[in-house]
Amino acid sequence: MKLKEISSNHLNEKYFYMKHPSGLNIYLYPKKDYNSSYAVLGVNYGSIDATFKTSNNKIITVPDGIAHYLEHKLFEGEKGSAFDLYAKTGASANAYTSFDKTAYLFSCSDKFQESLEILLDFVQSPYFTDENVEKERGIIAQEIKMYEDSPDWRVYFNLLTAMYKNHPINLDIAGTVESISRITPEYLYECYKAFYNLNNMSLCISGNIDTDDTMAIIDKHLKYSEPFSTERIIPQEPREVVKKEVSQSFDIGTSVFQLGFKGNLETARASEKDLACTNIILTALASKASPMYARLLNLGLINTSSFDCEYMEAPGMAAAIFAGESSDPYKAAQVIKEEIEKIHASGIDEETLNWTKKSLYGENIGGFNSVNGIANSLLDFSFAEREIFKYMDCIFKVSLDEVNAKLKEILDVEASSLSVVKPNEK
Amino acid sequence: MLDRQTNQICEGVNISYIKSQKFKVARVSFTVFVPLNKETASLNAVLLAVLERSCKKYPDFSSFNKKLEELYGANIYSSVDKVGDSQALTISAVCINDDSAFDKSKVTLNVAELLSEMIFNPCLDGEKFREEDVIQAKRQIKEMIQSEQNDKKSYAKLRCTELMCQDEKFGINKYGKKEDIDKITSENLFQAWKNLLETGKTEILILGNHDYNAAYKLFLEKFSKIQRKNIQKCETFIKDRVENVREFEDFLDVSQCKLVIGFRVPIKTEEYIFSTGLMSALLGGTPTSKLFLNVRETLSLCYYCSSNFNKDKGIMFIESGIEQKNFIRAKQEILKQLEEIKKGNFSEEELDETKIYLSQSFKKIEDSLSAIGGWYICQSLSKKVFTPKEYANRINSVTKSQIIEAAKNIQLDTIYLLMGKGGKISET
Repeated sequence: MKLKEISSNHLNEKYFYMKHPSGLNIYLYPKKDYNSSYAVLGVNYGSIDATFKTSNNKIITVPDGIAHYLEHKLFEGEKGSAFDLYAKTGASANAYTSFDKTAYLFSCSDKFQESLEILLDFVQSPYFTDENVEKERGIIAQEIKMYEDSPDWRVYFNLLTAMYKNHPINLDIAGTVESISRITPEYLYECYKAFYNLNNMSLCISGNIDTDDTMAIIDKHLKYSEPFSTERIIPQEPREVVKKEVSQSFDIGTSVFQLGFKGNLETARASEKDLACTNIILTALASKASPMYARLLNLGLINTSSFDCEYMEAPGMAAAIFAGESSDPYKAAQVIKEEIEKIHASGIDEETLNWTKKSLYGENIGGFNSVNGIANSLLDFSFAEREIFKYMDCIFKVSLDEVNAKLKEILDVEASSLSVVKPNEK
Repeated sequence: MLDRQTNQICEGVNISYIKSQKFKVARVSFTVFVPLNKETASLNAVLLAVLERSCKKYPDFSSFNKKLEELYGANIYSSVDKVGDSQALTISAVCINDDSAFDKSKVTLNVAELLSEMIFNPCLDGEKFREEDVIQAKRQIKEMIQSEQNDKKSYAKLRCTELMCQDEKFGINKYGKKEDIDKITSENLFQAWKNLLETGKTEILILGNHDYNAAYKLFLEKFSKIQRKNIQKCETFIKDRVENVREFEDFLDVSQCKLVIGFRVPIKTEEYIFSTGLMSALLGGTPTSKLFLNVRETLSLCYYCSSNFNKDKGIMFIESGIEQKNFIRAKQEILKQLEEIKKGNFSEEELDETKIYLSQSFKKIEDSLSAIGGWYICQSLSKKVFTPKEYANRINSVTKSQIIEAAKNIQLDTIYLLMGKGGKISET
């Protein structure tokens, strides 16, 4: 049982990896000069896992929002809340649920080992009762309502609903007030049993840690897991979008929009090289130095404080999304599409490739500065089966032809939707 | 340990260097502090947006940003903040360290130069800014003000601040008023620019692994051409008596109500800064605080209920998102938890736990350049500058009786509720 060293000559950085006999993927990234440490224990399970095949070949569908509900409830143990235990060590603890993962984390500058024990223990000790599940309903209902009032969140989910017909990416992560009313301790145990298996989890730690001491704690606190055989079910998704346009009105001051391009529908995740090509294209197309950005700005269609472009990727889906506030979202979307057509016609040139590579490299180096950032990236890369230093190398290595070949795949104007949230008519 | 070296460049202008080898990036920030005024708030905010666009050397938005991309994706950020009754205008630059650059170029110094060019050599059209830049900057700040209503949580706090401090400078929006933006011209922006450079209290921070001497010389040379005079005094009014508690409501089409409760904190001695900070954390600053455990965990009334203390203005806010029908219950429970602290109904253990939680958050500051920068910028107007460690030590020495005294010292001032249209407050 040995840790494998993974290093980058470019960055002069390294970390350690092992597949633990328990099945858990472990990533340790020491940062000796730092005061603090950050640990995140992730489960390859999220809101998209609303229907799945259990180990005895049964296909079941559970209420929407259950992965998130489970995340809330896991903090409660038979002897009290994990927060009470963390209070003794002073760690700052939290958790989050996304489309395809659930993550439990803490950051601290003292008593790292004690906090790590708490993390490993509570995530492996579910305790759901009628009473404690009931108590959480009001809290999560308020969390859902908070998001209902958020134009940025609404514009995002309206977009995903407009783009995806069958893929469960179109389900709201926390579910609805109605769907969570159907969640019971039995459902929670069923989902826990199906997905919370060490073979389906990764532990990523970065900071002021000693690898031997940390491994000793981990070894002591991991419980045996059955072989993992739950299957994620992603239904067949058509190439075309459901709706080209969708809009909603709110009591807000400025319209916000998201323009999404439906990409790859394969269940295999994007490789390091795919990701490098994609990010080079989006930097060339939509960074502040791009012709598109200047044009949108000069026409008064975007502002620098909100405009952004992001590539999202989960099993069975990938999308490039342009988002921002705009006085005329429809015009903004039209200009973006025109600029995309232009870049399809001309391709990306050598000079652009050079500056986008420098820019992306610099931007990604920033990510190796914070222990939180490092551990979170390691987790993302772990579930996507990518290696972070290899991605950095790919930024240098990809050729102009490879980048231009990717262009067609990720920005198909025919497979795009526009979502707008606008102020109520006065 | 943070080692900070400070030099005066000229009257009211300081430059500080916090050297650290552990980061892969470096940071430079330039902050000007001026009193927050109705007449100048929007003018200064628009000016910052103009400066952010370009500089004489790279006069258009695209060429300027292309230069930044070539400097390994260096980023320029500008921000307008309130520190007490002052408006803090900051432009900062973040870039990779020289030894991370594959052509081993002097990225950090190049970026510091570019930042200084933006501030001291902007694109001018004689004695005014260029119209195209002004039009863009005015639109952007207007949109910033308009979009404040988009995020209901921060909007509710903003409204509570405005209403609670309506007769004070602190009640002025940091971007000024939307209506005032139309009146701004390229000529008065030029005057505002000169005025800031000549009279604004200025803090320059050089963070990370820099050639400090070169950066120091750079800014010294820039300021040598400026006639510094009549440095503006930045003072903050701290209200220490509340005559009447006021209640306000706004109505918007929302599904969740936002409750904000504002308290005045008379800062009688320096000790009150630390005791109130700790008291606020004990009340609502951690996941085991009184508000979290009672309003959220026991009563299931909300997803968030938290307290935070603004030491520069002597105000404490409690915020929560609730169902409209639960407003009275939530308000009563929040005030009850404060009473519990006044009565001393908390254990030494709870107090110690809050202390170790806060101590760790102070230690973490040293692991982030932006946190280090923020820490020192915020203290630029303070009489005494604390390191995170000194601050943590002072917090750790607060006693139970000082906490009780801090809770008794604060005074309820304003209760603000943002609720759904047609909503009514009723007992349930």
